Amino acid sequence: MNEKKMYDLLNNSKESNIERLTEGKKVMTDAERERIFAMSKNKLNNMKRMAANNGSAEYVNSDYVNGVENYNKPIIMKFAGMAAAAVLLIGGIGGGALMAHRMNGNRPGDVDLLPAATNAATSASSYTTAANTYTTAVNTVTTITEVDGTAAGEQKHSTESSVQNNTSEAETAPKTSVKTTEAVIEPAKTTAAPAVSAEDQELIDVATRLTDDYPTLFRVKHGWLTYDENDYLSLESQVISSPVGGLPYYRVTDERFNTIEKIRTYMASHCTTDSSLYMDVDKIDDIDTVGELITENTEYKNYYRVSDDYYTLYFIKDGKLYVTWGQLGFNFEGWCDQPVEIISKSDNEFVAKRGHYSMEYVIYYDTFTFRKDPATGNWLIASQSFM
Amino acid sequence: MTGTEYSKLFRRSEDAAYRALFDEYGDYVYTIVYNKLHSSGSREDIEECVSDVFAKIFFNYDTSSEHEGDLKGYISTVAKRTAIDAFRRTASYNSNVTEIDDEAFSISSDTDIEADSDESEVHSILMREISSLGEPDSTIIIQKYYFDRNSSEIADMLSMKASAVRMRCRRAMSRLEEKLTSIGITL
Repeated sequence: MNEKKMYDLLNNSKESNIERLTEGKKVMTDAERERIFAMSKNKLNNMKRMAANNGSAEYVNSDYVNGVENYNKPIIMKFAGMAAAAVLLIGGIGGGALMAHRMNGNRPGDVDLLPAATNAATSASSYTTAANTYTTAVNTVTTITEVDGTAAGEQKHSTESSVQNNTSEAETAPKTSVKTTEAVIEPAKTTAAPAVSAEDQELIDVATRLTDDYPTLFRVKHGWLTYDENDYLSLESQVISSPVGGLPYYRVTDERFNTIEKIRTYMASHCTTDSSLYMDVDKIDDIDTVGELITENTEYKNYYRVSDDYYTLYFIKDGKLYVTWGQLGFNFEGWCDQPVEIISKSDNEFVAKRGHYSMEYVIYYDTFTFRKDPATGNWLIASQSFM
Repeated sequence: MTGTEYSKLFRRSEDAAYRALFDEYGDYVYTIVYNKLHSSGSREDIEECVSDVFAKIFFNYDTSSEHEGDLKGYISTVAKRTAIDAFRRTASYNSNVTEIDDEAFSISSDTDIEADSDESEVHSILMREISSLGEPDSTIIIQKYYFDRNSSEIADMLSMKASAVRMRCRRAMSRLEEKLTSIGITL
């Protein structure tokens, strides 16, 4: 529906139409109500006072003031501002001069930036950590070249490094030792990522797999699944403490989660029963203490309350799963490329950290605690601190 | 509330009478004032005007008279007059606003009466269908699209969560669209 058109139509409606539609309804917020009433009383008091003084109570503006307010700006602020400006100016000039002095004619463009030959890569499941190191070190080394008299130019280098700017000139005198000077780009000393033990790697793989599924788990918990908007149930409901009426229940079409059994299996394989992500799909209530209340008159008495928050409810009718929900959306932009990091570990529990993108470029780090299921030995999400 | 009821209450306690009158007709007056001023004034102007209306009523109503009828007519008249005065004040520093007239109504030669009639019919149907959405959906739609309130403000009024208001609004709009489409109106 065109929202602008809706605005236009309502705002151009006849006054009587709007008055009829809002009759008996609250149109002010409580804060507005109290504020306006207080203003009315204040104006009434002014009118009474004016009437007592002048015999007339023509409109009295409660904001009316008289007199002159002297405004004195502390003079010290003027000098403080000047001093601050002077400090900034002198600091800028001095800092610039100092930097120019330290650079001593070396311009940044004078040095080549070459990638070193070494790449240290650490394999972590599908992730790869690459430590590319760059060097700007240019060392001058001296090597002794033996020239065999007849084979001028056949040089034996004592280094395997690549050579640039070879400035040697071999002389042809037999058994003559010639000093050649070469500018050598020395491979950088590589600081590779610390090696990950096999045990840690296993935990990283577990954490990666489970956190990969975290967004899906979260959506299942909150009922944000694909649904058929044309297939819905409108349940009669009543309200105890809030004026919320009945919500339509839409049929779940996501084939991964279109039965309670599938949801149960997914839950059991991903989170512990005491996790906030867990929902007990075997718990069947015929009355809800939060959100919606299905009346006793409805033919649908049993449903799955999966979340105490909002109004998320699953409902089975004729073997089909329906869902309703009370909060919109879960905006997850994806995990970042950095690998999972193990923060702490014990025999049956470990904590890991993983970053996700927000607003396309900001990375938030989320902490997950994983616990081993004593029955199956599988790792499960026990808790999470999702930013 | 009748004049007699108000007068009796006033004699017992002035403050209680003011409060009762405000609670009874506050929303009604706000609607009238909003209707006149929302195109020219700010929300503060509207609040100011509503408070003017009640200050005038509190001050001017003759509590010695035993008026048996409902005070709604009297309050409505004071509200409309005060709102029109406020509109003229606010419109004087906003030249884009067209003048309104409380009583006079004329049809210019280029007025498309047929189109106006159609639009009036659409308005009536729209109001009826919004009303048929039931509570709290009709209130949410009116508050959002007429009183221009955000979800948090509406949530406060209805003791709901803002997220629930947004969801209900979206669904109510869908239902409204279905209803209107079924009778041949497309927005």
